[in-house]
Amino acid sequence: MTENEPTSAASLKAIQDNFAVFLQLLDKNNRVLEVMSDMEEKAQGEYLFDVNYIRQSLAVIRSGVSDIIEKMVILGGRQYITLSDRFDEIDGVLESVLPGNRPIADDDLTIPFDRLNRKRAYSVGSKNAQLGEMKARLELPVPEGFAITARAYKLFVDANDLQKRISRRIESLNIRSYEQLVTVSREIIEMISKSPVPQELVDEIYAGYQQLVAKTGHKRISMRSSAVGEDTLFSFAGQYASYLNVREDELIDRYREVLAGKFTPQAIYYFLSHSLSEAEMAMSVGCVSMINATAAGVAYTRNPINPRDEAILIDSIFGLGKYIVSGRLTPDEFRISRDGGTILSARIARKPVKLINKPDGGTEEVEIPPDEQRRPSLTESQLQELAKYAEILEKHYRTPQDIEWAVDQDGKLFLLQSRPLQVIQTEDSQIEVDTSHLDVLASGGTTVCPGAGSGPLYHVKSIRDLPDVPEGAILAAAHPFPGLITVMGRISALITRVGGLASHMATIAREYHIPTLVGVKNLRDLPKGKEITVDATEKVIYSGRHEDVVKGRSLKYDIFEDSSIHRLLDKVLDLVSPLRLLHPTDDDFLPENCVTFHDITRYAHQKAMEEMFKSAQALERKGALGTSLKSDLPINMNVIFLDQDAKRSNRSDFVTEEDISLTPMKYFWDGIKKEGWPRLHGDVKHIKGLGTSRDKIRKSEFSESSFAVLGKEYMMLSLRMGYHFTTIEAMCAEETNKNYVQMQYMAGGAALERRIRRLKLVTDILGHLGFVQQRRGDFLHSIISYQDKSLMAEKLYLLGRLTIMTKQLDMALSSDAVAEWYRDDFLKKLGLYEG
Amino acid sequence: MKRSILAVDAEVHMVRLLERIIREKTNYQIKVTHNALEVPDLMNKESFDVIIAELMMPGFNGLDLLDKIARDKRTEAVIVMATEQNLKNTVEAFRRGASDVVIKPFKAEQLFEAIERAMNISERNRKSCCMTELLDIHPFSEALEAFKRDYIRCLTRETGRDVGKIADISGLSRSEIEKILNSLS
Repeated sequence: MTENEPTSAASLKAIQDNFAVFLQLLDKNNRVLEVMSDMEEKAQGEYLFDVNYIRQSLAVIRSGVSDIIEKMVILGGRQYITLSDRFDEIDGVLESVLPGNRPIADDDLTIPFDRLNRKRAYSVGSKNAQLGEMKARLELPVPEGFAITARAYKLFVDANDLQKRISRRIESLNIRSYEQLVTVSREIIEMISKSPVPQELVDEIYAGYQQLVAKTGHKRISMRSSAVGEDTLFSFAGQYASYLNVREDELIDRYREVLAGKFTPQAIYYFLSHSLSEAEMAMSVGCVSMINATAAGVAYTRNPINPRDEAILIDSIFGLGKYIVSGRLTPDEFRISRDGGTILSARIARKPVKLINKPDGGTEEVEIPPDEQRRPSLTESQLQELAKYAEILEKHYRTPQDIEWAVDQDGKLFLLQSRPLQVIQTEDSQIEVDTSHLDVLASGGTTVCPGAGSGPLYHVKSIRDLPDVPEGAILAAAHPFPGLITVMGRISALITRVGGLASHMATIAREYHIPTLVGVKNLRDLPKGKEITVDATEKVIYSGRHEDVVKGRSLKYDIFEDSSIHRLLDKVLDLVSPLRLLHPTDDDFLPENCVTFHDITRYAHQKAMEEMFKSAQALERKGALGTSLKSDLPINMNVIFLDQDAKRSNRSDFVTEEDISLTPMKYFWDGIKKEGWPRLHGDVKHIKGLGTSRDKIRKSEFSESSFAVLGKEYMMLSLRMGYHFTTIEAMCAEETNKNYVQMQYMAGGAALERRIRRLKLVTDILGHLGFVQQRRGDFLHSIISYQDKSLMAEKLYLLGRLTIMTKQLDMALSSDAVAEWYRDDFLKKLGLYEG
Repeated sequence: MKRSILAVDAEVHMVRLLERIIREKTNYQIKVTHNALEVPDLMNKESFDVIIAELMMPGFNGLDLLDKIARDKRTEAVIVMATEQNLKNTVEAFRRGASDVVIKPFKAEQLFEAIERAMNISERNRKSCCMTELLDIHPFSEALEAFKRDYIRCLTRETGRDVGKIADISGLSRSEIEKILNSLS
């Protein structure tokens, strides 16, 4: 026993441990890639799936990627910790796209907006997080405010043991009807409003409030829900409570009411299924300095019904903006150009009333003097300023935005919310229809969703009328009202007397593709029960049923591209699967450039291979560990087994060809044996100064430094053949995503020109085999990955043959023509020649 | 009359996708809900040809639905939607009479095929249900009258109310067919 041996044994043990970690990493990588490609397939369309599918797939990917990072740190050390930062960054954005993946954050109870950004959605809900992003990061005029966090919610819930009490309440009933659900919902809301808010939280809320007042000088705030576990992609907008013009003494009561508002019958129903995690039930509340609005409204950065329209759309009224989204008023409508903010068109509506703050808290409706009702609610410079913000927001979020804003008493503009806007995706499929002979009942108004529908006209006033709406009816209502959504599936068109493009109803009508026309003046005069045709595209209503008009105006929607669930998957995939890190040799192949999970796995996979390769090579230098391979070929090679079951026999004095037959090396070896020991190439004899000839071939020609590190699915082979040096590493497993073969090819004995010719020849042939290659001088790196096992085996076999074929070939490559002849000859022999 | 489908899944997005895809890509009428608790009510109000239901729903799940159909001797054929995670319950669903199980995520084509099969099954269910009822009618002359009515009703479903066509197919006289059609309406 020499002194060296314990060190060598220790180093073998270390590399075996590393190898085990490496295999686990490949395993995770494989799993992650499988799930990613499954999601990509589903995203191609034609598939129906639910949010659970996206959640479950994402959960596998998230845990897989964080495992990979952990393994990477074990393999390569602290330098890979950056990956973890990248992971958190990407995951934070994912959370704002598909919330509810993280447990409730251990955060402060309240956080001012200027300390928030969109990655904090898991703690303060998407609405608050976006306000922070706009205020702190984009430095846009957002009112001062603070968020009461999800942890505050948890503190309140835990202090009153609410989770358990609510569960018990629900479980004690065998809920079999919607009415029961409504009752339970009422009871739970009652339970919450009677639960005391812990003193610690009360103090924090007041402290946040005092700071806010100190900063702004205004004492009133608005309080809005900012749900944590709720996705923002769907337009069930405005379903939770918000309170305007809240006084100091009302803070705690209103806070509790916003929390209670989450326990709608629908939420209770989900609670029943236990499909909501604690985090998904969590509610954050936004406390925003109240803007005493003289005007307010909505800005769309794109025209939601016409993606080809470049204009920014602004809807505006006097007073608070609530009357726009509820559809109470028909707003002023402006179209502003993107570059420079020219007003392209303006339609000023009559605005008989406005909603304002009451001095003692709350809001009230007041009449507008007749001579002011038709005045524009915004000035030109305000419109231009708003258009500028709209462009900034769309650019920042890289998707069209739906923005709420208000103007205060001093004429200063504030942004109150920004969220993605759904723009109708449709091909232009309108056919010319001759309508000249038709009987026009009404015309004018605003197209909220294009298209046309025919059917019997049915007037509704409130939710009570809805159950009787016949299938295929044209629905007419003076105002939009809550509940209209329940009949959207069975009506053929919708018309209202007031309203604009930006109400909640309008958003939902677009989602359902219901042809919708608002601002129809003589709605009441339209014939009840009679068949009519609403052409929402052209803003005309005809008497009678006209299928040609309906057909002519019909739009082709791609069901899959256009469905909310597919859009959600696309958004998630956008952060998961695009590959921005391409070639390992690129200068920007760095961990800090990882912008998707796929980038992280790509980077880790590459680095893991390098680390494995490094440690396998380091092992070789320790020497004396391997056992020499016994073979007919004159090769002096040491073999090291990384896992013992990769070796067929238990013999320890030498390794036979039989012993390596369980490893990928078998395929390579078969290739070498098929070619046989290298013969000298034709004109080699004529090359001056070449010392090699057939007689001189000795065993030592494959130098002592040739060695193989083997596992059941792994091989790393380091061959010194004459003057050139080749390393071939391969992973060859049942799971396609684990597999790769890479080869490094270096140097040679001949003049540079000839070595380059040989390298070119090898590059060409490997290209035929599907390898991706990087060449630098006379160094070649080639890799092929993610192919199935039999293909990998075939590549290894051909590489074995090629290795022998090209041995000392550089000496023979006296001209490009000779090189080309050899290349074609080899391709023919390998069965790859394509003429 | 258009044949009709009821689709129910606790997840609102899935329901909306089902609704759109069936409304836009098939000739069937579709009614949907994402609140399973509404299903018994909806079923009591009207009958459907096919019901597409998620296996796991709070309050009233796919198995409850199958039990209700068996108990009330209804003719709807049921397509159950399941996920990989609750595969073992699908066996139970078949045992209780599901006509098909589709595993989420599935392709639209898969669903359409399942719907076609289910439509045939529900048609058969309805016919055999009619037969069973007919066999309980006495005396024979009344059973025969009842049979004629059902027979003509089936033919009108295929041909519309075209008396000439019905006469050609059935060999019954026009006056008799008209008499029966009048009694039907």
